[in-house]
Amino acid sequence: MLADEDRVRAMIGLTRYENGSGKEALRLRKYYRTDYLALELIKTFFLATIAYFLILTLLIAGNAEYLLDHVNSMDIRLAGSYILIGYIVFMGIYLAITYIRAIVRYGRAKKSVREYENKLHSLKEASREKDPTESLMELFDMGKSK
Amino acid sequence: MTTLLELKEKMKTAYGSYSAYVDIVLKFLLSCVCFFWIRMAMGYSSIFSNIFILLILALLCSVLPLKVIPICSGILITGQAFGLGIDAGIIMLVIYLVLIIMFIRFIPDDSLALIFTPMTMSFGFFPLVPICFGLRRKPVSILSVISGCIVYYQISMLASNADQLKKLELSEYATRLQLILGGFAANKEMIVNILAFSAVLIIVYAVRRMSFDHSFNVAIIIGGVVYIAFAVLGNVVVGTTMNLLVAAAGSAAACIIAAILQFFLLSVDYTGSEKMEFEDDDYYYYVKAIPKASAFRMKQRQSSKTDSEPEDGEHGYLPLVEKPDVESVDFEKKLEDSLKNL
Repeated sequence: MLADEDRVRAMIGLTRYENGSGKEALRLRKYYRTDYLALELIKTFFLATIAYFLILTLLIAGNAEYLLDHVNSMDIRLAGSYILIGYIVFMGIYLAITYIRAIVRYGRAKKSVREYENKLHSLKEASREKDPTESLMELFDMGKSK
Repeated sequence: MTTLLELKEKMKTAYGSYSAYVDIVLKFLLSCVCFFWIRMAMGYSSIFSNIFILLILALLCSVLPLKVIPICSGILITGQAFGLGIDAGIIMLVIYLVLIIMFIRFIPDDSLALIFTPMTMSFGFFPLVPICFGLRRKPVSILSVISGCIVYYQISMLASNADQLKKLELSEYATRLQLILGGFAANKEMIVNILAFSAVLIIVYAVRRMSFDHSFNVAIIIGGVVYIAFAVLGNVVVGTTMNLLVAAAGSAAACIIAAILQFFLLSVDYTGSEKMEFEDDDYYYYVKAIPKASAFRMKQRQSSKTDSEPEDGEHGYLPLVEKPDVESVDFEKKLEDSLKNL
């Protein structure tokens, strides 16, 4: 009786993991590490580009009056190079943060999924020990299918 | 204290029995507070200020996940900004997009700070959200608190220039943009508040993780003091014009609210704390176990205090249980009986 209760508890724990905290970890473990990192970096590259140009738009909009007054005396090349350098620095910082975050998340996901798999394995073992007729039935089914 | 703990336990029991309904009601009330605050703080658009629309939206939020509330609040704030002109609306939309892409993308679970931070700041409880997030979340929650702070200052800027914006024609876009965004990035008060919130959150998080008794309460008080210190430093060093009396009163109120929330979320009984040491093949473990505070434990302790006072000729110890007379038991006979039964 107690063994059944333990099994039910273990099953509830595993289901809670699958639907709760482990959902994201199980999704991450479908990727290879390099694939996941590459995907995150590509996604970040596009999003950071959009964010940078949106910030630039806000800065230009906020100083529109000044820029309109000084547009003729402005060195466009210098301004362009500043924007480019700013973009490279912004992108570098953002990609570095994303890379570190992705590595940490993947590592954590790997660890938690390993624990989940161990629990799942021990649950399977316990189920076999509990009901030997089931394993006999499995063998019988396998024999029939052959 | 015992009464409070009893109240807490009753509330927990009631919540356990009716959690499905209580969740819906709480989410509805929370959405109402957020949406009506936006209406009160902005109120430029007749559509987005319509009470029926707000109530319908709050009803929708009450049955949807909690993350929907900041999304709806963002839509309402942007909609209200559109009431001042298409330029103000687009700029608010762009600010939200930048915040989501840069910050909220990394911490979607903390998106509630995007609406709670500006709301509590407008009520004067400046450090409330950073203290609460420091107590319950991780340091990365700084990103969501900073986003909320930026939204608050953009709303304030729109509110202070709303009359001028209403008078100006849309064709005077350069002046309008100057009013909507001018000096936003160089707003000293905003920068001081961002720094103060970051410091408060990190310090509260660091202190509450320490293993001394009452670390949570100490963390709350330190959080409030750090915010006041930043406000004073901002006024003295950078030249901001923050009202120190309001900052101090707001910090004190924030500390009290945070302590109440902390009591309902986690209250522990430090008098029963124990330090344990044990080891396995790989590690030594130094564990501090603190029991949860409960009304039953408090009552038990109070009664044990009164019982332990020694009376005349008696000690405060428990009465000794009389040992059974083992020698008089005939074990052989008992064994034979049990074998017969078998």
